[in-house]
Amino acid sequence: MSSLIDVRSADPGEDLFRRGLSDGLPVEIPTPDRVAAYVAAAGLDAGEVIAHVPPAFSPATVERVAANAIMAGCPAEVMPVVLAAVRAICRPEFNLFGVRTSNHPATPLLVIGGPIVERAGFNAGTNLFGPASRANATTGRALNLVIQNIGGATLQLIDQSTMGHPGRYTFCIAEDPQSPWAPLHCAVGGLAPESSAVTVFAGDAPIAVADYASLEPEELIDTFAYHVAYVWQNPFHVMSEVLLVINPAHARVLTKAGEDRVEVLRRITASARSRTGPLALDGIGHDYESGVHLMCAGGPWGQYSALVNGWVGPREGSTMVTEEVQS
Amino acid sequence: MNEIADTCPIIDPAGPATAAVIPLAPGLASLAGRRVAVLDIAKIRSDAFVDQVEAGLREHESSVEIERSVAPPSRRLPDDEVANLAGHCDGAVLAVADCGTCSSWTLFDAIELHRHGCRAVLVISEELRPTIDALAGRLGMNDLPLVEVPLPNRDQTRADIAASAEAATPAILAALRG
Repeated sequence: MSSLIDVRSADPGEDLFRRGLSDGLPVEIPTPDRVAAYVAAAGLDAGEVIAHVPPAFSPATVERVAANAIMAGCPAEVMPVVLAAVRAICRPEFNLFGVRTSNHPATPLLVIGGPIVERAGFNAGTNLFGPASRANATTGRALNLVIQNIGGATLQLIDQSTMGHPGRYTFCIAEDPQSPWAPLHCAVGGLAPESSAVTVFAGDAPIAVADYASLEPEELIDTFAYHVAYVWQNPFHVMSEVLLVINPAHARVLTKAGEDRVEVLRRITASARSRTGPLALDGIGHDYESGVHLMCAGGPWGQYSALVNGWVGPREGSTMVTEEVQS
Repeated sequence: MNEIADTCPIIDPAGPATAAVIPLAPGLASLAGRRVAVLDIAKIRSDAFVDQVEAGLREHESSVEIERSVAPPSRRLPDDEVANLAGHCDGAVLAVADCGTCSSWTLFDAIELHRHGCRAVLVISEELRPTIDALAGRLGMNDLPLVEVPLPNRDQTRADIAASAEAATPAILAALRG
């Protein structure tokens, strides 16, 4: 049976805002008819529980997820992506309970990969982290509303992030279908290239990695290593992992001699280590090098990439998780 | 005006507001001959607090057995560790929940200890009381024994933290007794 509430007909969006069910931006209204259409688009039963959402570990039915997706403004065709994202953040190893009750700013960054990127209009190009695609904007927003509304991460009460994060409105990017490297959902998630997937990373705000001079891989490697070393040298970034979002122009330089993902990461981390020397957690056997990941996305021109630093890393905190999109 | 006409139904985007209630483990009445776990959240200077709590419990009851361990600050205690602790400890003190994740996961661990029959007391900084109350309710335990201290450890010297622990010890004892 559907879970209904009554809202004021005159201004239902304002009513939802007053009940604390919005992120402060206007919301679409999840009427029973609209929700039924989105449930149908998902191809699942309305009452099916797909996950239990921290921090309250509340059951996320397909119907409730659809209601939040509608509120966020999602088109119906991204419902399978939203559902995969909800499954991903609720996996125990992602540790959403810790991520979204922390004083830390980190929040789930969604990385969409595979054929769904072009099919549903996700942006993997120019203005990657910014407003350029309805699919990116609304999928990321839907996930945040699910965490807030179903998960019970009441803003400023249970959600205690000291500085917050603009990504707590929406934080969704896609991987360049023309990436020279295997996409994250294959390299990290172990899925086939032809599958579509969502990879989630508990990420801080992106830091720009600018280098519009380097023409040779070793020069550009050094630029990325400088930024990785900056993270590694801060003892308060406890075991955090790093996601390098490398734009196509930088990727062209880095792969001049056909370097694959493993080789690029090996060279960046070796160069970073040569900058830092011994690090604070070497003594407990922490593997800094394996915590650096890369992907290709962003506009085709302009030599700006990004580094996204993580929350507490896998050993004590959060592990990057991939979920296949079922469609 | 017709009130029914003023409203319209929508699908509730929120999850259930209440969880199944988890029963509180009974109080210990006395610490004589009992074993109590003292769990350090392993954050900045938290050891200064739990060292003093241990000393205070021993001073109060010389026959109490203390087991020192760690409540991880960024993740939950594994199920087998909770079961193991609850299996051979009558009570537990977890301290100090004074920031975001260490508070939420330590709260979770305290509730799990109660679920396994171990009387757990969570020490929190008073500014976090609204957060702890809200989250505890969502997790099914509105009456979790709590002891408040005025300031987070990270804002104090070790000497001040020890003094804070000493001042809190009577309330911790009372919460263990129930």
